[in-house]
Amino acid sequence: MAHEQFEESVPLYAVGALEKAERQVLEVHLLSGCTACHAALKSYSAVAGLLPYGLPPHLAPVELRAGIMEARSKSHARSESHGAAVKIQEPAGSWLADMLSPGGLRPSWGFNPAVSLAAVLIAIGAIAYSAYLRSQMTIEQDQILQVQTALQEEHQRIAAAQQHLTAQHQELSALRDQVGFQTGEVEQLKAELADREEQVDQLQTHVAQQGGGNSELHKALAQRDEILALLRAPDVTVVSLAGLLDAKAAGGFILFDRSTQKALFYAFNMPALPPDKTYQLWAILDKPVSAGVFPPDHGQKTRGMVRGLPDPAKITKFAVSVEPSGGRPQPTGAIYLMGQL
Amino acid sequence: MAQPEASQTPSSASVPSSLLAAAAKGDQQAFAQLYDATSSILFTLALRMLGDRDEAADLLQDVYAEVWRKGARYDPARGTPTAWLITLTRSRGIDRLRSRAAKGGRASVSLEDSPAAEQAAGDGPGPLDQYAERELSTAVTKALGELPDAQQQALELAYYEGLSHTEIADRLKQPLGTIKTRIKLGMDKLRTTLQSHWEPR
Repeated sequence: MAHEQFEESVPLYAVGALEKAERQVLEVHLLSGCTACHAALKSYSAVAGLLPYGLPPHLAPVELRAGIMEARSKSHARSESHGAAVKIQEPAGSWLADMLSPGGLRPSWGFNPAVSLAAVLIAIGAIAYSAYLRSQMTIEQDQILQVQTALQEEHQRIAAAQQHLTAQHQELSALRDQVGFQTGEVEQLKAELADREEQVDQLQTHVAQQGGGNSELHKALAQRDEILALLRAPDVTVVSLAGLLDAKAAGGFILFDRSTQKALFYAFNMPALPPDKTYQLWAILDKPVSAGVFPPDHGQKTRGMVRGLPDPAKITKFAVSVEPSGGRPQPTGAIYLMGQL
Repeated sequence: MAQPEASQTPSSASVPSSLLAAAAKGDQQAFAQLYDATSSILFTLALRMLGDRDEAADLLQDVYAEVWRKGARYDPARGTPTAWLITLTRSRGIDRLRSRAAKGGRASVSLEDSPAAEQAAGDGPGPLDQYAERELSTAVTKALGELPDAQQQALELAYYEGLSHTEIADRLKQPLGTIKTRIKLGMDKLRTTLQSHWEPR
């Protein structure tokens, strides 16, 4: 998809009007780091965020504030009471009750109220200190838990970011493969044509010898010559065609010679068509102009020669759409391929 | 006119990032201020989307609960705190509309029979902040009023009712390209007209 198309879909994205698939395609483009689209999205999103200010204002119900503040306090209290619950598990001072109980540990010295009082006071001091230490430990444990949770969240975010990156890498390598495949196709076509050139020479000689006026053969030869001439043209432009939403696996290219206004069109992996439909190629100037119809052959490929392209200097894009047999003066069906000069 | 004190409740048009951060960290006073500053615009949005005061109030409960649970995730680089809260409210509102549509309920709403606005409790924004919010409201209302009705309608169906361009085209029986163009032209015009209100200062 061309950058302009992404940029045009940004305002629709900002108000939430894109279909899921379109949204995902745009998000991949944004992740690829397009600064122009990022800036556009930021401004359109800010504009979308202002829309509610155009509504007649309504104040929230009085009781809602109290309800939300109460829910807030309860949630806060719940998170704080967790530490207290841990402390209750072993009641503070239970070891002291054992020590002072009749069946418990007895002091080795005889009963002395003063000594006992002192022991009780020391013990209470010890309990208080122990409770203080435990509360400190609980706070620290809470803090450690918080740090651990934060770390886990961070790990999850990093993992998600890595997944995004992997997905982008895969997409990039798929694109590279496609480019490589297209280049291979061009090379293959050139080699095939070079082979045929020799055969053509032989056939021409043969035809000359035959002296016959075999019009079919002449026509085939003329076509070959035309393709060869195009491939040899010094200023030939190669326009790569990318498959759009309904035909993502499809691709193609156009070899385009402005000086002769001729182009060779070749597409592959095109979705099969019902018998009453055909592919139509469009040269896009300020509006689309038909460059001919091309029914797909076996293997879902389609190819053909285009002659007399209108105003070649003004062509900015080529597109291929699905149209009823015989084609239409303007595109009416889904666009399957698009390429920019 | 005297400058408002730092502790005074701001309006939704001027909520500082620090207030959201403090509210998310558990500061009760900051949370109350954030509520007072933003509850009106969020309730207005929720009511427009859901058409029912009880359901809109319920939605706001969810949104503010998310503020204290996830407020720490707010990234100031992506917009103002109010814009973040508006996006959150719209997104949760669309979830409710979809679940309502899945249950076969009405998908669109009318506000004509909704009761009159009530007075909110708590400290409202100070006069300067109220002025800023009123000024913003006037500017947005005027900018929307300058758009052709068809553009306004397409924007509203997408933004408040969560419809995609295809669904809008189906509902209005218009070609898809027409709907896309209406939304794009409408947003372009608003972006230009409201530039001084959305551009970071």
